[in-house]
Amino acid sequence: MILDIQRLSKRFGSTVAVDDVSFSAEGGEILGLLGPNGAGKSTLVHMIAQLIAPDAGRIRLFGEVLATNRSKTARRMNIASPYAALPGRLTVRENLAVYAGLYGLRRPARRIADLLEEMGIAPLADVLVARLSSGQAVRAGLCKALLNEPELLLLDEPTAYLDPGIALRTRGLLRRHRDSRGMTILLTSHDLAEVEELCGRIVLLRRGRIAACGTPGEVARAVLGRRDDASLRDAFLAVATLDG
Amino acid sequence: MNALRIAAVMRRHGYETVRNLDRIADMLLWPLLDVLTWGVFSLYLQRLHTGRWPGPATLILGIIFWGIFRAVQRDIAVGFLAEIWTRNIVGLFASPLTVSEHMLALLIVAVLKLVLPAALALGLAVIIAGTTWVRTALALAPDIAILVLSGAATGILVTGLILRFTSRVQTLAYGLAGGLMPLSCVFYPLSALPPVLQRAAWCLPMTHAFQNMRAVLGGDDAAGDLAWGFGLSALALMSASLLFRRIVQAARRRGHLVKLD
Repeated sequence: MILDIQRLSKRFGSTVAVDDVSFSAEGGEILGLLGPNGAGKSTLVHMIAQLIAPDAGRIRLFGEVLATNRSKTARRMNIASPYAALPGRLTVRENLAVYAGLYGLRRPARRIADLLEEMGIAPLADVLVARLSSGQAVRAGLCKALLNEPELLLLDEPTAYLDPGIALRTRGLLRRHRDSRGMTILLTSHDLAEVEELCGRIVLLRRGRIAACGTPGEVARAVLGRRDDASLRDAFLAVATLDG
Repeated sequence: MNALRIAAVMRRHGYETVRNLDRIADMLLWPLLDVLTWGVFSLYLQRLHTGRWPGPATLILGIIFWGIFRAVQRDIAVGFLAEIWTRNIVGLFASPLTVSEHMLALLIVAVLKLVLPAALALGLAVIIAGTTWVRTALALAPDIAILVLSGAATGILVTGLILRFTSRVQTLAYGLAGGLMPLSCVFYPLSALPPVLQRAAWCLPMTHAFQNMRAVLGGDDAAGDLAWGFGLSALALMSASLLFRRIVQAARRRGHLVKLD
């Protein structure tokens, strides 16, 4: 098991962000975290990335307890998040070279060139990140997230700023990486079609708690009852409506 | 400690420095203007003064040495702030980079950035005040080491405060050195301070570096100040590092690493 979360909780002051959440992810799985704004998706992702410390519960990554093996586990995972950006005064290639060093890659030039090509931004390799459009910057961030061939990739709304064509291409890329390298992906998104297309299983969150967990169909039926026409979209809207 | 990760952070700041006019001005322009202004002023005072007075050397070395402390403190704090401004902090803290490696890399970058302006400032000082004092200045290398260590301690402290109180207190990155200057006895002996401030000033390692500097320029022995300077700067560096580590842990608890604006 790549990721095993047991009874994880987090509060910020009086706000309960994550409340007694448990789930796991197997190798090669794409697991979706879904929920309305404030449901706790990003907090969960950032706790797994060790950017936020949990108040209670336990995270095991690659069989190791996260709290005691940070550097070791960090080498085997990566993250792309709307809270993260790359320094604007460095070119895309320079940024990737810096992160290659941070992740211990020796002679990363070929890897960087391949990723830029795959992501369709090879012509922008020597452009300052500050000069990129938001969509191009997101793709540069995804290159950084794939740089170390992570066994676990955390993606917080990875296609939020991408046009539909590039988003489609990005989803294809993620699937290819999953298929060829057995990479596990934990993905948050508000794009329900994207989640249905990519994710084998979904964890639907509401106010920090798991409202339902399973395949898109199972989640829809768990929320809406055993209706034949239950869709993930309807389930999401039902949960979001409850939050007002 | 991983050399590859430290080198990566140094590389990141190397790229930034050559493209950032603010950093180039901080590194080269302002130190040179300081030396020029105060060097000319000290020569003017020398002409007015009739008795024995190590004036030009005291003033110019005071300016250059204070610049060393200020630059190390500022470069460490601004180096960290740059990661907040560019929202690179999430990527860095999610990577295998450790806090110690990050701080050590920032310190090495700060010291490397001193080499060129220090050489230029020394050259300019030679033009203004001659070469008689250069050998003495080189004999003051231990004072430089004290100022680098105490600059690093102050820089780490400021970085911790920014992490704790967010970028609302980022002005400390540029302003704290100025606030410490009156107590650091850069241009006057410790005894010149009002008695109530002397105790506080004595606790600063920078004070002992400047006390030693004046003693050496006056031909006196001040080994005691040197020892206190090293002891206090090492203590300050250890305390700041421990405090910073605790602040990082607290920032992880509060979620500040993700939303540090």
